[in-house]
Amino acid sequence: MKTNPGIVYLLDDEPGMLRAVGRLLRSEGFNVEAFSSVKSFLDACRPAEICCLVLDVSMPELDGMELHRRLTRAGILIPIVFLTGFGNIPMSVRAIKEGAVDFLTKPVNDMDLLLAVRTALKHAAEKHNEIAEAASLAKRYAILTPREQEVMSYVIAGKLNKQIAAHLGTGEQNIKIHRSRVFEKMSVDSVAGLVRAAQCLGIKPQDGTPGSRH
Amino acid sequence: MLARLTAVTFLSAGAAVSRPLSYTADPDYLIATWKTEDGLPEDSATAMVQTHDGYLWFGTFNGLVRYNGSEFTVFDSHNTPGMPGSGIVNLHLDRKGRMWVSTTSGLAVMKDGIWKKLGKENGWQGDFVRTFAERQNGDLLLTSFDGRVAEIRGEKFTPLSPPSAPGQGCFGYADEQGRWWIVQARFTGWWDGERWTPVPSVSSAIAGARAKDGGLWLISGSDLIKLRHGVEVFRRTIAGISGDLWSLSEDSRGNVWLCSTDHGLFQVSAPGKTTHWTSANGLSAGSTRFVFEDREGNVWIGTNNGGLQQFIPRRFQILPVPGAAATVVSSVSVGPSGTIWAATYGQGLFKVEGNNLTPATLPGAPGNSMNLQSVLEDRKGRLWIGSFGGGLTILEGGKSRTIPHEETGGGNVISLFEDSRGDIWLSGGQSVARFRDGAFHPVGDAAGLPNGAVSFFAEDTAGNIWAAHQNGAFRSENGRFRPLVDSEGNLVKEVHTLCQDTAGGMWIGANSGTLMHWRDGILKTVRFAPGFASRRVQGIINDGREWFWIVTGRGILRVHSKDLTEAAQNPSASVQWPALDQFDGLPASGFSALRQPVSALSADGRLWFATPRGVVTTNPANFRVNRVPPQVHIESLSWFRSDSGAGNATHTKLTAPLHESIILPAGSRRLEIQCAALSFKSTDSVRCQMMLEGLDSGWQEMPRQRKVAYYDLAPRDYTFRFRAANADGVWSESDARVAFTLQPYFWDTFWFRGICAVLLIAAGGAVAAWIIKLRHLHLIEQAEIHKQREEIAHLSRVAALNELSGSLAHELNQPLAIILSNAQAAQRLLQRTPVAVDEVHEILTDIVAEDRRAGLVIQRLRAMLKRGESALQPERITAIVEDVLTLVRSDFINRGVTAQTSFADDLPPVMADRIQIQQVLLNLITNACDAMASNEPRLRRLFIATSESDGHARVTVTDEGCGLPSNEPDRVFNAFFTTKDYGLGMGLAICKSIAHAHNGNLTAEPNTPRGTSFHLTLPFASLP
Repeated sequence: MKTNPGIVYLLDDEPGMLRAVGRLLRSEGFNVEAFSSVKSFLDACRPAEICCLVLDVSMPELDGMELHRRLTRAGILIPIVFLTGFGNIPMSVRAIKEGAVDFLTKPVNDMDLLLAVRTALKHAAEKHNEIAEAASLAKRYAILTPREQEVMSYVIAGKLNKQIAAHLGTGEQNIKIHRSRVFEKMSVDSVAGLVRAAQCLGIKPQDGTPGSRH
Repeated sequence: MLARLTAVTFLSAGAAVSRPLSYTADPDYLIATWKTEDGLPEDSATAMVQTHDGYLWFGTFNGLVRYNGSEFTVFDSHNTPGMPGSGIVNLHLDRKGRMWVSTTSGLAVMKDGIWKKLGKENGWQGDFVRTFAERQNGDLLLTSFDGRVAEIRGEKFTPLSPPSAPGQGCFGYADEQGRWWIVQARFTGWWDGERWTPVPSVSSAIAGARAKDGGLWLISGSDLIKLRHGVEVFRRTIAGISGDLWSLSEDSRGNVWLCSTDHGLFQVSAPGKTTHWTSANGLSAGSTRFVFEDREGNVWIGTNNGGLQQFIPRRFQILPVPGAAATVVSSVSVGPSGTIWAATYGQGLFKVEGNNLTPATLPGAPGNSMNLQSVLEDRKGRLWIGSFGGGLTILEGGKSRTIPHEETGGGNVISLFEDSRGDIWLSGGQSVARFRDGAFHPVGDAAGLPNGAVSFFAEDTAGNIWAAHQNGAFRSENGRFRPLVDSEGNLVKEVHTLCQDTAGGMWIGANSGTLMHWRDGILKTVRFAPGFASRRVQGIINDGREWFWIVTGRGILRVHSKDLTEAAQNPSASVQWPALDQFDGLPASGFSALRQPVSALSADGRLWFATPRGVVTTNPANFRVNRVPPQVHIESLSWFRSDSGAGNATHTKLTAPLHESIILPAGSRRLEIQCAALSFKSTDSVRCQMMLEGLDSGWQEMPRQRKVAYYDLAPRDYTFRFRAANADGVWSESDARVAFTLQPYFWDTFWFRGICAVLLIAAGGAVAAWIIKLRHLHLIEQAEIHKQREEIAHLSRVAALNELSGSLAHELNQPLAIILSNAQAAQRLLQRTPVAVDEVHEILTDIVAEDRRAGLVIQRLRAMLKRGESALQPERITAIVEDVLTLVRSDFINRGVTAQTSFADDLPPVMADRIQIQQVLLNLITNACDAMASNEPRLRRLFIATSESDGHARVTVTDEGCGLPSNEPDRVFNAFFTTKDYGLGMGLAICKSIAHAHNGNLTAEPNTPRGTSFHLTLPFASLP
């Protein structure tokens, strides 16, 4: 049997539901960890891995929507698929607005559930990759000298060497050298690549166009 | 009833065709190309027609393709049984709207999706039909590759004897008088009804086609010839033509196009200019098949092995900086003698000559290493050149001088402006100077203008100077600048550009996406039509022909001055988009801004704009607007419906033509509607709107996608409407619409609800009648009263159940959900080998357990609904309370109520009718929950206690709700007393009468600080 990467956490106060949904997901090769209380889930949850949460909206100890909000506030951004016995418009709109992957009504059709879980895990994997890529970029960015970082902010704004030189009050030749080091250290081979890296790192272009007031 | 969750999403169409402009360097056309990777069945396009419904159809060697502007739909002999073959040779749309399809396997004619093959049995003897010609009366002439000719009248084929031996392909044509013509290598001439008559002046021709005026275009040797009424009226030798031609055609602009089998594509323009396209200048293949012009004037080129190409006529031309196309043109201006100047970053100064920029070699001009930012030739012929860092240079009479930076307000000269007195205003980046009477005068604090850069100057008709300063807009009056403020007293900031309004006002464009208008001290903001999100207004120029050209972050808006004034004056008017964009020939990189001058109007009426990719120009006088409204269609409607039995979904799709009154069965969950807006210049610039009557209250903007999906619509009648505007903002004449009805489940139907409502009202009425009788007559016999009380108790149980139904649905839903998931898991497990028997066994055990649970819920329901004599028997009161709590558990969760209990141990049994007491408790608990509904969640607490009191068992239900009417708490037990919007006010009255029937009592007392306690007392059973 093929296994799907990633963990599917199930949280429902109804043990029968946990077993049933767990079986369904396991039969499709998902790694499932089931919990009947919020506390046991929070103790065991490993948000740094690729994972998603299938969450019952109505639980006696803590409302599922509230749990979602608390997780979000705590920076735990697990993609969530909500299951509910009774959906209503405000509830589902709120859930989707707050970033839930899907909002499914019980009894849930297996195809709908599997699709939602696959989507959720795909989101999680994308997020995971983004974080990994950003971490590696940040490492590379950290080895740039302050001057090189400065030059990079001009390069990503599309500035020519001579313009950068004029701004930084140095020679064009120096800027050329800095520029090539930036490319080498950031391991990119084009301005476009550098711009992408900068966007990923949240670095703002130095938009000091001559004559501009920004 | 469960509430519905209706959602709407836009889906990208399956094979959405992106619009790559594959070649943008052509001076006259933007060229886009589609090949197999874009969804074509094969890399050729052999013929094209546009049907009356607006669709484009073209042939390939692997199928017939229909194009709706965003998707290709392929028809071939596999999916279309009536088609003779998939290799399409030629297409013809006749006057009756029939499409004639010539394939490599025979001829067919198609109308409304119905195909008819035509062959020997119809009298057609030739091989592939190469050309179709049609007379005014609808008669057709067919010519084949092997030289056969046939006439079709009505449905009848009549072979005409060919003018020369078979084996030679020929072109057919119907002339102004309706005579048939044949054009081929050995013969050109007409059919007089009995025989062919040659034209003496044309010895041999390789191609022919009908001219727009009804004449005949011919290629003979390398000459292009035109005949009118058989007489030669035009002849021109076309250089470079050799070999065979596939076809010849004329477009609405008077261009004649020649498709060569191996030498690319030729165009002979109306003024006589010949243009030749090959793979070197944008053509995707050397062999071209056809040139087709659609109703909107888009030109389509079919090729062999190069797919389909679209030639979009440019409305703007780009003049790149020679040798360095990526060079920024920072400034453009027109001198008094008509010279158009362009200043560049790092490449020096240029002049426009013909359709090119040429270096302006002027002695003393700033060198090529300088970044020039502003160029201006004043009325005296002096040339002013501002640069970044190098300050200002003035060229006059062959001499040059560079001005010290302190005189120009800094060395970064970004703006130059000549006012009506001939004074020059300029900003050196740090402050402003004015050149007057041969000297520079600083304009600073003394004149009311703070230090800082001014990127744009303007003068209003009263002669006052305006400045777009880095701190805000300033306006001078009597030589003194004052900042411009809006109605709330805020400075008008980040002003990019200014433009004089001939009526004495000023147009002001700002970075924050706003366009403002000032007149007589009043500042108004101009609105853009909804959906247009531009980040900045960076240039405004009037073309002297009543049109304003507004440069925005999303292209140029061309707005009539009347509309612009209207939008500024009338709060309900707005500036309409779409904007002119890349598909009009504008560069994707935007425009140069925060400089002056960046746009200009030359004496010949042309507009010029500075951009980072060169100088962009257009001639407003020749600006061709697409006034063809797009035809709109709804192509398909489809839905998914869950089949609850098998656990899978069925998908139903209806395609056009969609009939009236489509019925969607109950439970149709996901509804998808695919639309088409047939405007072909660029898919992205077609603006689409939709409205689902029954859900939407007005038109909704639709993103680029033409497909919309609705989830879980409520059962109702709907009409979906769709309309679109072409890239020039012309809306479709009528909208496309489809009406459909989503059927309800029986419990969602009006009749079912109606019956329920009638029953409830009847119940209410019966109760009311009973109360009235009871109160006023006192004459009803005891037995009768008893019977009626039973009746009412039953009806009120039904009513209470109605209130509980949400909770009960959940109670039933939960086991059903578990059973479904378990069963579906089992189905999957059973498909695997080896079957995990143990696991399936466990699943079945769970299913049985859950099924029993569901059964118990139903049993409890039936017990409650049971009608009958009350049967008093010894019951444990705590057990009855616990039973009720199980029933309402999920109701508590839904309503966010926490319940606390405190039960007295070892209470003796009470004499009670279990069901009736449950009914009373249920009523008390539901009331308590209702009373606390408006509390914040932590204050929704319910206490339920059992205790002994005065030899009776007592159940106390305490809430923290809104409390009792303060003056007479017992009024709650009166019939028809209610605080609820939907209540009958019967619950507590009945409860009290039930309590009395048990020889017990029901009382209420207010709590401090808030809430109510209800006490139900019941006598203990006398122990045996």
